[in-house]
Amino acid sequence: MKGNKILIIEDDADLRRALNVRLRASEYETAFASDAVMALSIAKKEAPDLILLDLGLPGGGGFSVLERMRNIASLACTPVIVVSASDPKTNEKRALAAGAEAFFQKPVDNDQLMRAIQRALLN
Amino acid sequence: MNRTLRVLHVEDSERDAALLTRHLSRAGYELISERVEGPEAMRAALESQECDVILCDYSMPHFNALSALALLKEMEVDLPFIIISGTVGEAVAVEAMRSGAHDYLMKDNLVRLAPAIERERHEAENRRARRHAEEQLRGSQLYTRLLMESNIDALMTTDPLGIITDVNQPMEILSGHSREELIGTLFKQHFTQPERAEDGIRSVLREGRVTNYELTVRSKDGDETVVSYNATTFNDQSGNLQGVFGAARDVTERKRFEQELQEKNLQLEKANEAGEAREEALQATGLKLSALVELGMQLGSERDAKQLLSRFCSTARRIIGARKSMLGILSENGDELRHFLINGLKDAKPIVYDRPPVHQSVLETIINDRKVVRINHAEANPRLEQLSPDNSLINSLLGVPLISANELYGWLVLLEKQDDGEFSEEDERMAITLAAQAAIAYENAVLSERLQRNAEELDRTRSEQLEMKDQFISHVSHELRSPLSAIHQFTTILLDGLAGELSSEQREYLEIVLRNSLQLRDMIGDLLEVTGAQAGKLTIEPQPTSLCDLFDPMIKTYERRAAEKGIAFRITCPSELPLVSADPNRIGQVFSNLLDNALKFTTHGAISVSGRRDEDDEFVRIAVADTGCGISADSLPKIFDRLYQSPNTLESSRKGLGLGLHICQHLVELHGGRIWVESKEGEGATVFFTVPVRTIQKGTTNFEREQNLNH
Repeated sequence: MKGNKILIIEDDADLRRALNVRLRASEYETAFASDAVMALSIAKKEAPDLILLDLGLPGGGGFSVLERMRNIASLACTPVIVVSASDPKTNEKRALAAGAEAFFQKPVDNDQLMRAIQRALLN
Repeated sequence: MNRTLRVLHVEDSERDAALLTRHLSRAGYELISERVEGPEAMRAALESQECDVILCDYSMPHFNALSALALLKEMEVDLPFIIISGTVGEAVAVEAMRSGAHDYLMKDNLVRLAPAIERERHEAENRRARRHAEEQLRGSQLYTRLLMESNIDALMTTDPLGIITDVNQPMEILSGHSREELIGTLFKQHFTQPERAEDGIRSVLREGRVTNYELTVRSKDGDETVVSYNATTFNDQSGNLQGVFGAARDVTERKRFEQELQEKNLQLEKANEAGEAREEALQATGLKLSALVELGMQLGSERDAKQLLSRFCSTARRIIGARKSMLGILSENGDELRHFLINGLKDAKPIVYDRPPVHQSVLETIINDRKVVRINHAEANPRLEQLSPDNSLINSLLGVPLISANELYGWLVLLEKQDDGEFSEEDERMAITLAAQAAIAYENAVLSERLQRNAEELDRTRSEQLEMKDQFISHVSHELRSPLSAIHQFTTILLDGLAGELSSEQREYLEIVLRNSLQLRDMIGDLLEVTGAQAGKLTIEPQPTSLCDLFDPMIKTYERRAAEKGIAFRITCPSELPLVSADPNRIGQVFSNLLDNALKFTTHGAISVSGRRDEDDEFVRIAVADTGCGISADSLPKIFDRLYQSPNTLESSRKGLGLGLHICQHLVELHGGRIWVESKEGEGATVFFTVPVRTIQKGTTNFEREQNLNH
């Protein structure tokens, strides 16, 4: 919903920025993290309504972030949408099993992504 | 007395002839008489009829008694011939008698006529009988001779004293003497053993016969022939002993054959004796031999070197009959042991050795000199001290090198011949044979292992390389996606007006950027896909799928795109298409790829999609037809090849990587379906693919829909 805060965990600055423009255009609030270590502390601090998570992160993979987040009470129920350059055939199932709402391969189709975000926030 | 008398008168005077006839009639003869005057008539008379007596006038005007006698002689007629004359002196009578007349009578004194005729008739009868007997005898003699001569055996007759009386030609040949030379000589003098020949004759005389009496004839030239005699005595008609008849047959050939046979028998006997003697040895070694053969086969088929060595070590011990066996295999430089095995220790628990418990000098002899070491009576040989691997005493040792084609692989040492016996030369030979076999087998096993290692290494390297390639491609595609993603994002941001209003020209250009970025995205996807397909990693997860439901949303997108290009889009889909067994993502991927191609190659006309059950009811067949440029006959067989790129790509669109249809084919075939294309250049193309109908229809999915998506 409009006004919801979305944490963008993405090491690529350009993509971070693009997603920021896209989300803000839809009137979401945004927060950023660029590596796995930062991701958890910022997530805890910002308490986002939804997280967009890249898998190929420096300082540990996105999966470790996902798993550790599930062990943090305040973040255990936060919906996570994985946006990754990796092959969905190898990672989609794993991501969903680890608790992600959806898996998108880069480059993402914006319409689909926005619909998925809306859906996740509604639940 | 026969009173009939046939008389031939040789007489010129009929009166005289009648006188004689009268006289004879009076004497009581019944006469049949004829009178002739000349030689021709006489001959004719004699030839035409038989007569008993000729009464001939001594002197006739044209004939006379002497001429008549000559004619008789000429005609070989033997008849009583009595001359009847009127005036004859003593001298004439004597001459006539010499010439063959039987009697001489005076015409005026015929008193003696009848007695003379009677006498002469009797004489002639006797002469005839004698002649006949003589002829018979001559005939039988000839017969005998012919018999003798026609016999292939050498025949001989002797008198009772052993003097040769007759021989045949084979005997002449055999003896080298002519018949004339032989007759009259002593039988025995023609044989190498005269006494034995004489004994033979005595036997015949005593027994009446001998059979198979062997003698050796010595010929004139000194040739010796072994003959076998069958001999009998023979008697004259009265049963008086005449001599001995012997038939000799040349048995030289037979003798030689017999001798050979005998020699062979002798050899056979000897062989048998030797055979019997060997039999035991064979029986003793029989087991060894069969074990040897068995070992050979086992070793030949054993490809695991260690297994092989272990088997060899124990089999060698068993075959040769040693209590323990040790086997050492040297490392390649020969300095140390690669394998060391002991077999036959009573103690089951393994003993660890720093070095083989064999005296160094023994091993040196085997390894360095490549020689066999055979030691019995250890007490006399200090080299055997402290040699037993389990500290038991050793009395004998047999050690051989394992050599194959001059390559030394190690050694085999057998300890303690069973039953405290000695290692024999045969054991030594056996050990050498076994070691050679084992060496070859070991060599093979090592080579085979090496080959296998190499092959495995190659395989590993290859799969590592493949893995690296996959990783590389995966990495590259991953890395390409991030910048592409940024391009895509900012392009869409601009196009969506999130960064302010765009002029129509700006928008147009940005849409080109977007289209290209999407194409790039697809290419990267294909690249990854085809790599996975090649590595066999492409998998599908089939599930009951409704193709109508699957294709419906996709069709909507393509309808829009077709409309943008001004191309009609037609769907023909029967209401009751069965569920198929398909991975929805994958079949969706195939479908969109085909629609992409159709759009790409079609500038005007229509794209038609149809679905129907295949004839055999086992597949659903989907067809995507376009009215594009079509595919040339040359290209048709190639379009599913990897990296195939159509030469007809429209200028406005870019060639792809040439992977799309290749991946489609792969995916359809993974489903068990088929994909093919029908096309004529310039007349569009239709691509068909089949997806198997789900075999077990679980429940019923109502997807009855009447759709006509034509717009």
